[in-house]
Amino acid sequence: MFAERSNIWVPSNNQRFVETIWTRDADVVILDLEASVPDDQQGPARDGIRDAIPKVSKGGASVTVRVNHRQWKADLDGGVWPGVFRIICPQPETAEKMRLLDQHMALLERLRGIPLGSIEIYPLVETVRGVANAYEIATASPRIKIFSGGSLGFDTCRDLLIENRTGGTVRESVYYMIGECALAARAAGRQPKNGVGFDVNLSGDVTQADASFRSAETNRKAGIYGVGGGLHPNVIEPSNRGQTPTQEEVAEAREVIKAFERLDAQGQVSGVLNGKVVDRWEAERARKLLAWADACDRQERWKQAVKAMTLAQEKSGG
Amino acid sequence: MLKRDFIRRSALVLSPLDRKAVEAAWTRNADAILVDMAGLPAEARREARPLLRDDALKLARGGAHALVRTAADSLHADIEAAVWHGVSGVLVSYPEDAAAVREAQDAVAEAERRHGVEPGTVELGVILGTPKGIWNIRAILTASLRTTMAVLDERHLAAGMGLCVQPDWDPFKFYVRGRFITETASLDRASYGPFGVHRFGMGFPLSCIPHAEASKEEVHKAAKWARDLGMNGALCPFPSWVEACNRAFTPTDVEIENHRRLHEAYVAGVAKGRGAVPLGGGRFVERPQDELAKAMIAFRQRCDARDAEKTAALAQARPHSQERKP
Repeated sequence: MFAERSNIWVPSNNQRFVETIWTRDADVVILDLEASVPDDQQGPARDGIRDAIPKVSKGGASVTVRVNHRQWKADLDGGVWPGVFRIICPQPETAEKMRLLDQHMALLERLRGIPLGSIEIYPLVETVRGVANAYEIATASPRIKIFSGGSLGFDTCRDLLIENRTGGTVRESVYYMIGECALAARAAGRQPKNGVGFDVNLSGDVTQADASFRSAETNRKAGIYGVGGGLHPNVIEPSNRGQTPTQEEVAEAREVIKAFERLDAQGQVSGVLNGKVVDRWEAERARKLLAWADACDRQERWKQAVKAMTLAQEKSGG
Repeated sequence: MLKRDFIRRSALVLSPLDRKAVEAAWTRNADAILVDMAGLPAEARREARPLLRDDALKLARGGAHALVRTAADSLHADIEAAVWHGVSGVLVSYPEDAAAVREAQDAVAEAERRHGVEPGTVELGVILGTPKGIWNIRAILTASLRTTMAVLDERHLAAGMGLCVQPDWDPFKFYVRGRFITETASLDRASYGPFGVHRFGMGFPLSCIPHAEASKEEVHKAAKWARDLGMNGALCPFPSWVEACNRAFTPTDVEIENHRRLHEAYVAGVAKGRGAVPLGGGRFVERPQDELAKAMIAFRQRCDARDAEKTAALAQARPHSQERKP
């Protein structure tokens, strides 16, 4: 596992962002060919993905590409290259769409010397039809490892003809939709990418560092990892920080595991530690936290190593 | 040919045997008027059925769409009495599977044929108010292409689930409403249009505990809440609810002005080569926001056109009604 604490969306047509995003310390860079790229720049943006991959990953970030749901085939042609580990498919509504993506990606992997089936598909459900068909979509391809949807984004609001209400508190519909997508994901054996901190920032301001930290932290405390980031570089560091377990949490997790191992050795299934129940579920939670903390640590060391190499190369003019 | 892009923000419910209410209904400015057969005992329904044919035209005088709600145990008799020229649709009470809807569909088609109503024009609606109906919602909605409307009857559902609803505890907040809205909105576009079937529902607590003494502000607040969830209109058990519902289910001037500015900013930004257009204050507009803005502006235009249609119908009907006064 590697850590995906901060996912930063970069419009692929914006060369300034493409050239500089590696300095902002994101865990994942998403090269976007969808909402942030105007129609008349789709072609050049798509053609520029191959060159953009090494640029945006100079700081150790993993690279994903979000295809345009209307022009997904052409975007796959432009986006499936060595160095890309995942394709994000926005607004999926049917299992058939996932199968078509899978087939075309297999063709491109074969042609371009990429291990077959190695590039993931991440269906990002953004419409009510996608929510209604969540389970079918989530199970449509073995490339699907993570899955999310149901947040009351503008696409869902358009489907329902309702205001998005950033700045307001209307989130009741989202409980069902997010719940349905999270349940479908788990039932399908996929990792849900939805977080519980979705209502921390309703202002519409995508630059709010404090809100990003609180959202990332809320998710971390709920045991939801790999959920953070956004549209503006301001959110990267707070997301990394908010999603990384604290030293106290790591110490507590180690204590829980030791306590459970002692109980287990004595043939007991549960006990009490510091006033809290310790059982196999708590031990499992603690192990998951430690694994995540380890992944965060490895992620940081990886990024530092890659950055150091990049800076050395740039200094030597290589 | 079935129309699916209608505007029905309010559906005034009345008993066909309340003749005073029937005579006055067309003046209430409701988008639809729902004649409720299901609210009558069997004997009273026998008395009411002969009235439905002429009532449909009376009710539509002010531009309202005339609807008839059938009773579950007299579906065929109610459909036979209701499907005449002037009726927009019939509603099926508490279907629990696709077969119940198909039965109604076939009865409507037969009645259209016998009564000389243009084939395929009378809509079907489903009133969902039982646990099994909610559970089978997808099968029920997709059982007939005539289905254009769905009503979430929370009061009946609560009773069916053995709940005694209190005004300070909302039993359907986290699941039922969300499921109803998602399933009704996610139907195949080619068959049901871009927004699925029309959703009737009300905000809590009026959805479970309707009362005639609710102030216009209370009704408006509950209806607005329902709209913000994704409902398109509400059944109005009292005439006093109609105006508040019409207003609540219409995008406001402020909302539309915001959408226009957003759309203009997006168009201007795209012209300059931006895909994510900054609005200031850390806010951006991208294509999805612009699509929402355009959809809301178009929806408001349809609401305005509906209001104009009713105003014209009322103006035309009023001189005639004045002539008929003794």
